[in-house]
Amino acid sequence: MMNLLGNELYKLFRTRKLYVFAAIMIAILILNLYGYVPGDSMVVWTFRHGQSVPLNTLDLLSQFMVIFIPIFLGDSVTNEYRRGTLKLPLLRPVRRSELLGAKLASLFVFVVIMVAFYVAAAYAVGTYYLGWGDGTEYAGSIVSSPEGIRLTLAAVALLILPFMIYGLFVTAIAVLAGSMSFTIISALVIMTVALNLNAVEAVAPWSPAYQMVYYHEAFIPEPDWSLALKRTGILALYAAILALFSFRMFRKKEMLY
Amino acid sequence: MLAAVEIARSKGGASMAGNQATPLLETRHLTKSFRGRKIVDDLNIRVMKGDVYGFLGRNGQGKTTTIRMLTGLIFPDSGDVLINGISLRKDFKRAIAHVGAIVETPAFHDYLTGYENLALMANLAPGVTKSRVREVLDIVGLGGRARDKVKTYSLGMKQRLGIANALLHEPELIVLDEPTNGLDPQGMREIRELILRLASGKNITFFISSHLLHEMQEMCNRIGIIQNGRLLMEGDMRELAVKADDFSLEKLYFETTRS
Repeated sequence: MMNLLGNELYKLFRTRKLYVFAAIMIAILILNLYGYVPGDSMVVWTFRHGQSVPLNTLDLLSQFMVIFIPIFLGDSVTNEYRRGTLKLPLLRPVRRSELLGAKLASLFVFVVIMVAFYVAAAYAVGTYYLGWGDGTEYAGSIVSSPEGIRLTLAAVALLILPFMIYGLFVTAIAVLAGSMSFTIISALVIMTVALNLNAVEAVAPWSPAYQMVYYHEAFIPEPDWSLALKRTGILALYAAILALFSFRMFRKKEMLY
Repeated sequence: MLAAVEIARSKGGASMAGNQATPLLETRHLTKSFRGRKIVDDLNIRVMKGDVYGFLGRNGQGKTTTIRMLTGLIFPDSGDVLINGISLRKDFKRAIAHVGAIVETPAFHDYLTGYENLALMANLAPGVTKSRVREVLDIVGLGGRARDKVKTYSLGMKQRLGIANALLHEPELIVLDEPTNGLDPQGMREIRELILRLASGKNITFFISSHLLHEMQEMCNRIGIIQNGRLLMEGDMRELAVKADDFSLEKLYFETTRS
């Protein structure tokens, strides 16, 4: 399993997508902060300090992950299936569950790298355009810089869980799909619809799309344990169902390319 | 008789010794349908240690489907594949450890070098070292191009890289699906000579599917002919040649498939 993960990571670092995604993140951050005027009625953001940028733009990080995760898995699962390279490890003494497990583990590494890069890039670009500032603005108040950094790191670490659940959802599509474009487009279409459903109060708390944006708010700045438990429980349920489905389908999948 | 066949036959081992030994590869009543159509129908094949077995049939007769089942890439509706007596269905990891294979076209990560591709595969087979990677690249004549990206390789080079990949863990059995398909005459000759060299020098058993009869006659000591998913005949080339003075595989093939 570790050797399989090593192979997946080697491929990840040798392809260009990791670096392209990083460049896209920086470009979008610059586009958003270039000419940004705090309090401008045309923008929803109100922060004034560069150190507040990562914590207050987490919806942007979620939107990046909505797009990057299907591309990552579309390539790693569906495209490899289509190109015939998925069968290379399967012609070795490797169980299919081990291979899919390695791909999910590499997704986790990918998500962690992307999240870490986003935080670093948001601090850097934010500070460049707005200056560091003397505190982190969040939820209508200002906290000290160390506390702001702690909250930021906690928020992004928490968001990794819903990102991974979304990854499992995309994996279920990728395992069934015959083409990379089908995987990406169907994941994006379903996610766009789901994000729009966030406005419907009865549905929103049950939606993984909602959790991708708001999961961390159950924990920070102060934890609401009842809400946190409920949200985590919902995600755990999705994780169990999607993982079970994906592994079962992958075990049965016929390698026709 | 061609010298190449003699080389293969001279080490033709167990199949020459009779049918009492355990086959290295055996299918038992292998059957597979797609969308209600039987592609492979009650297939029983026996490949003995030391054979260079030619699996012959026109395109669309079930050769690749059979090979996919032999390597566990697709699953039979019924029947089983035994490798060294081990059921592929019941103990996949132990059974597949004896096999190296190229199924259809040799697919590799084209943004990696030939060496990198094999190094990744070496990670998945216990005991395969980096020096073994270099060794197999030298065996197939790719030592000088090992550091080039696979996207710069010709089809013949990719086939040779596929054979190198199949050789990595020193399997007893190598399964090749149309290994000379799409190659120019020079490429076909290189692959043929490589297979014969490995069969005689490394004592590797080969199971090769093809519709190229002349190629198969030059390489194989044993053949099976498949049509509409059914095995029409299976036999030892030397025994078949003894029975007919003007034996040719082409003649045998057309007589068998016509009837």
